[in-house]
Amino acid sequence: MTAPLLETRDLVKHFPLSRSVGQFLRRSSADAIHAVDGVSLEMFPAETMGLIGESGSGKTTLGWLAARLHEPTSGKILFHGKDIGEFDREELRRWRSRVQVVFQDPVGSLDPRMRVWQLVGEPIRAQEHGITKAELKDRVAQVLPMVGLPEGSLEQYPHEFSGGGRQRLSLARALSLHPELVILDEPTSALDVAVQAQILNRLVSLQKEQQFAYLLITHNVAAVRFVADRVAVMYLGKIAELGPVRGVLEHPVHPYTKALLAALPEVNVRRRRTRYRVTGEIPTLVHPPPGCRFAARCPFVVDRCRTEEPLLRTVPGDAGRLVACHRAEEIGDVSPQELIVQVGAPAPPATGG
Amino acid sequence: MGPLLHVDHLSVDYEVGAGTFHALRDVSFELTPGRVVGIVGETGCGKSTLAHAIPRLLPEPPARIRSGRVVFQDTDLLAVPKWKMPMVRGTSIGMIFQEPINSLNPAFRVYDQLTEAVRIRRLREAGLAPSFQAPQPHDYSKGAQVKGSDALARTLTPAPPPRSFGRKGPDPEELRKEALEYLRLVRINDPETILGLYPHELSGGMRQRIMIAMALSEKPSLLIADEPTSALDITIQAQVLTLMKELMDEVQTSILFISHDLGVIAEMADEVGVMYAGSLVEFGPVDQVFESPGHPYTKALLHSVPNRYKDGGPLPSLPGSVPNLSRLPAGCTFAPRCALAREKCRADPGPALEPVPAAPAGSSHRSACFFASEVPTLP
Repeated sequence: MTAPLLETRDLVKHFPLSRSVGQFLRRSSADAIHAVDGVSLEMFPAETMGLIGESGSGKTTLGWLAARLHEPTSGKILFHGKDIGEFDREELRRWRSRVQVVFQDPVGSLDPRMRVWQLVGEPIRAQEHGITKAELKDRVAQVLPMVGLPEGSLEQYPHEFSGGGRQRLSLARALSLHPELVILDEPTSALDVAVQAQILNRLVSLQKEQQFAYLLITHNVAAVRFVADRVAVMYLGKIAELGPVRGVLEHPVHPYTKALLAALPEVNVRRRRTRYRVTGEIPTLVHPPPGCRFAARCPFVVDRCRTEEPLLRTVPGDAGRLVACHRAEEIGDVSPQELIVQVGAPAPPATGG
Repeated sequence: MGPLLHVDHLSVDYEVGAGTFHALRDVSFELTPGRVVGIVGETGCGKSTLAHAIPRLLPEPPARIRSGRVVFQDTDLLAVPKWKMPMVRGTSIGMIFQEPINSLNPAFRVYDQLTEAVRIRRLREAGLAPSFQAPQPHDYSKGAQVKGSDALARTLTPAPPPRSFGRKGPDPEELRKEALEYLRLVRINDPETILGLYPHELSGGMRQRIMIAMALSEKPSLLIADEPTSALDITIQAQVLTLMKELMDEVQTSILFISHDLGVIAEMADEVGVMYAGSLVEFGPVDQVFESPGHPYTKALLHSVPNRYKDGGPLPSLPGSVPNLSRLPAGCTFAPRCALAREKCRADPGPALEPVPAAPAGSSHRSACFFASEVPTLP
């Protein structure tokens, strides 16, 4: 087995809230939002790790931590076995060329007053001081066809592009230094399905050619299915389930993964007219509940779930899979469809076995 | 009984500095009472313009309704003078918008906003506030100016019944009770507490449920939902959709449901209209449209939903992009991206919605394509 490209060990990120008057008088410490709470995962070179979860699950924070755009509260991030928290200024600058981020909002992340060659060339310029304008334009012109933009668009401004075009620009900027790891934060959520398909195809073909590793952060399960090799499901700052994408999406073990898959709107009209069985909302991250964080909404909850926190562990019979659930063995065979009740039709028979 | 809503050859332009954008072109469809009509399409295809044009919420200018009729309960809403439109909104046509946080007033508690809706409905029911009546006794054609004095003198409502409410309107205690009922209807636990909260104290799913409660409390005959779940998380979206479907039967309303998400439309709608570059390219029962589309665009849209793994080969994707609405091509607007396009398509602006050859007899499945019979042969 190859050495991991990126490894996080018990990564924790708390965002402190300002102290209330009461807390100030009692001299107690301020509350904090537990955005990422003890995440350990490994990523290998040229692999795509999908990170799915709902808003507030901490998936974006984890991505930002991996790019060192946030400093972790505790825990370590290792890149090729080296702790990136201990890098000095120069090491950090050089490391940045190997890890790049594509942000969610292509409008907000592109400076409207910069031309394409300036935008896409900015990372190159940061790494290679003294590069001339002609050389820079040359380099950018080589990058643009990679993402399917015409070379002639060097002098254009971002507003001249459509939403898909802007996302391609962001991607070109991230790829301009041929990084080893690209962190994609909701790369297609602002795009329509037809454009999304174009971008996803491009991501997959680029990975085949250039051996990038992707960390794909999204709530779009369909995109993860198409792009990812392995997938991690996050809920309230913790990983609920992790494993190969086909296994996790076809035979989810954790109740939250099942709920997420059951909630997906289905284009297949034969399966519509359904009633969804998981209720309740995502609890607050300021005072996460003791025990399992999904217990309040879980249809399979037992008393033990409310007191004892389940740890991420392997499930017997499936080596690549990690699940954080006390009842993983018992409920592993329940299919997501059983969380849906057909309206006006008898509930589907339990598949079992 | 005719259709509840009949949109008839509606065309809307936006006239701005950069030119005239044809946001809606000849859109026609009908909504029968008790049904859900879904409208689906990509960004910029005119879905939201349609949703706002029906209750006439478009700012005019820049918008201009070029032609067409919007017949709601046998009255052409475009011929109703603008000052009368607030009587239509709320009790006759309710709306749920995309972002609940933008539609709720941050300065008022849920109680104030919800009871306002209930109070208006009660006043209208009692004849104490002007309400929309169909058919209109007078024909106000759009061009004819209504004189101010004339308008004030004309009675808007039948003779007021005995003043059961007194001067101040409905009893606050009753309003509160009714507001609580609607909060329970949208499955909110502990509605008493929720009534006293401000919108920012609620989660996104909760806010959207308040918006649904507000829209339903006016008992509209038609509910227009413009991307009601796009801002919500997947599990919350599933809850809200389930709720809307259940409430359809309880309050007996019809829904015009607008979304860019094919899956959401498949779950919600009875009939679906597919829009492309401002025109309706296909309309029909949702199972027929999704299973045997009669327009190449619908087929391409359905095919670009990612449904396979990486090793299954690339996703089929549409080449090119949506045309600029101010410079539409001469022929069919989809021709430049279409695999079936021929000379005829590039010259002729395309047929109106015509029955799809493959559809079963008597079906309302129609598409705007010369070569609808060849669509099933597309990959």
